[in-house]
Amino acid sequence: MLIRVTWRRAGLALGALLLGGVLFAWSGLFNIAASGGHWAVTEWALHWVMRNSVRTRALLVEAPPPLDSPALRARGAGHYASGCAPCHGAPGEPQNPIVQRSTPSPPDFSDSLDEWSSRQLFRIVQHGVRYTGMPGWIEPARRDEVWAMVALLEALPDMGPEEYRRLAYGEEAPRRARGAAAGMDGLSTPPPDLLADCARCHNRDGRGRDGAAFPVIAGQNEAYLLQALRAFAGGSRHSGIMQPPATRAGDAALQALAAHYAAQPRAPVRQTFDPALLAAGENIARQGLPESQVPACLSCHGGAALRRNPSWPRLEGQHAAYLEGQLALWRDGVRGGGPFANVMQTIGERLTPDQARAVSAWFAAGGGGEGGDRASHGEAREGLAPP
Amino acid sequence: MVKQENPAYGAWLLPWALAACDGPQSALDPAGHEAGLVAHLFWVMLVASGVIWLLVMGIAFYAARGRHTPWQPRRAGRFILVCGAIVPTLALAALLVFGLRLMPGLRAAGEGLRVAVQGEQFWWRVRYELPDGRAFATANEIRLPVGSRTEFLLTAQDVIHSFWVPNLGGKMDLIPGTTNRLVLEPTRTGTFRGVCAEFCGASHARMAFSVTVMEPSEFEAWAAAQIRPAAVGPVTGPGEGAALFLARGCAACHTVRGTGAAGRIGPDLTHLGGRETLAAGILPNTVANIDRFIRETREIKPGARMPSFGMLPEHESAAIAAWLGSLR
Repeated sequence: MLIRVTWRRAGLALGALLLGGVLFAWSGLFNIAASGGHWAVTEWALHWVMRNSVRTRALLVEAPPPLDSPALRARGAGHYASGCAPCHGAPGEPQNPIVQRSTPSPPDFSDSLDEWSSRQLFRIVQHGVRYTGMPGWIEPARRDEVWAMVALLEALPDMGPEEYRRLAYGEEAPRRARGAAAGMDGLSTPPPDLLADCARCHNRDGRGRDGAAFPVIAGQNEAYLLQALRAFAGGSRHSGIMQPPATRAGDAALQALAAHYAAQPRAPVRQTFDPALLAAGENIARQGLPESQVPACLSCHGGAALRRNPSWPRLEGQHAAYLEGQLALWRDGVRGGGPFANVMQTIGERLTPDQARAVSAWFAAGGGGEGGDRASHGEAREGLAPP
Repeated sequence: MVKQENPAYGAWLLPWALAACDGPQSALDPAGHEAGLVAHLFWVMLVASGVIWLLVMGIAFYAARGRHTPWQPRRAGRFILVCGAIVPTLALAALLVFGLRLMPGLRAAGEGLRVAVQGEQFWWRVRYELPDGRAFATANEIRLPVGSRTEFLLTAQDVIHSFWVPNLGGKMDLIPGTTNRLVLEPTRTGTFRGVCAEFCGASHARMAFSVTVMEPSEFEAWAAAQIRPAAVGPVTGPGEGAALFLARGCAACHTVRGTGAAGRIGPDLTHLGGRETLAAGILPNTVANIDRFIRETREIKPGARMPSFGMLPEHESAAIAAWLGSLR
């Protein structure tokens, strides 16, 4: 028996199909349980679409910075331990059995990692993957942070458990249980010892580790530290790495942490710079750049100014790479910060990359700070000893 | 097809337009030698144009309405040559010569007082150099002695601005990388308004300044007061305006002579309280307005280079404003 296909019949069939689909969805007969997993064909199709999307979208990602930097890897590891390991596991830390029961279950990185290019990893980490539970980066504009995570991910397959423990837990590693599955607690609950959480990256003395991976916060002004922590927690200072720990700490803990790190002795980082670069930086710090409407840095970051107003950060002896990175964030308009952020924003966006490098070097070499704003150029270069 | 305009259509605008012919910002109410020349030129040109227009219209009317026998080609050709080429050339040449004869009067040298004006987005950096070598800085306000020729040195560092005090003279551009010279000789005392006359950014229309023409003795007293540092009493507490001004970073960009504030980015505020206007000629100079400008800088002046300081506690900005308002 043959049915002649007419427009009318085709329309009716389509309508019936739609109605049937709605009825089926309404009936609740469809099984959305995670427990059974996808059909193999669904799994293949979804994965195929995802890989295609990542491959194409990654073409638009910027050229990666040098990713074999230990500092970048360490910065990524500190965040990986609290933000990624709960679902993906880590070297020496098997994947949590709870997350293995999700559909799709997150890939287990404790033993292997799929082949992705740096740009493709960047794309996935920055924006996440829809329908899989993989979240996007909290602050997608912080591309520097995303690259740090990519740097860690690329090193992960060849990383032994000991190396991972050192990178992820720093000086707290001996206090952590070995071989345990990565827990979910790091995502929300304040750890019993909050300082231990901070110390994984910043050390208990606030000096950080792994080169310029983490800023020196020892001896920073307490008022400034508290402002910064609150700005991280509130999201007005943009950081995918610092916002989660600052948010889960709670304000009372932030006050205690600011007081703790402010009380640590300042220990400037030993760094060497080209004298010409230092001279250029000193000129900007002392005189500003009137032609670009940049005021002298020392009018807020010098010793006398810091004594008048503890809301400004001290910069002397900081890692030059960190200062330069912050100035780049100001220039790109993504730094954000506490209540006074728009003051530095108007200044930071006027500094060129070369000027930022020079002035970062001068402060890193000990310029500014207590007495530093009166020191001559030569003294500033020697001002590396702790005050 | 051209729309027929009712000639009475714009007549109601006329009295309104004439109302702008005098007052503190009008080229037709001259208060200076140069503005007088400009106004003189304007009136002569206006009368001459009016006469020429009436003549042309009269001839056109005569030609269109009368019943005339056609002219011989030879006679018509001669008429076109005389009235279409020779007479207009002579008339325009006469007016050109008249206009050019006024120009040396605009180029006469100054008499010693020099005022360097630098256009900024969106304010005026002003530096006085007195004939005896003394100098001082101020902003957004110019005071001049009546009856003497003051030389202006005009430049800019960001974009092109233009300096125009209509009651005192013609406008002159301020161009980055070059210094233009303009000499003005005010002939009567009074307060006038100057403006930026070249589009320079979002707040171009909010970039004005006041010009006060004073008797020479008054000017001398004013200049002597300006040279002195601000009358700052001893700072006794951290909550005072002067202390807060330094603590909150204002001094990074602003100078208040007599305090530690020596910033060179923004306007010199040494005698802010004594100025006619605030924020480059756009607000009456009151303490409340200073406070408002500190807190809402970029709301009042879009695109201003200074960030808004609305994050300061209200009592702090009020204290800073009260202190700045007291600097006379």
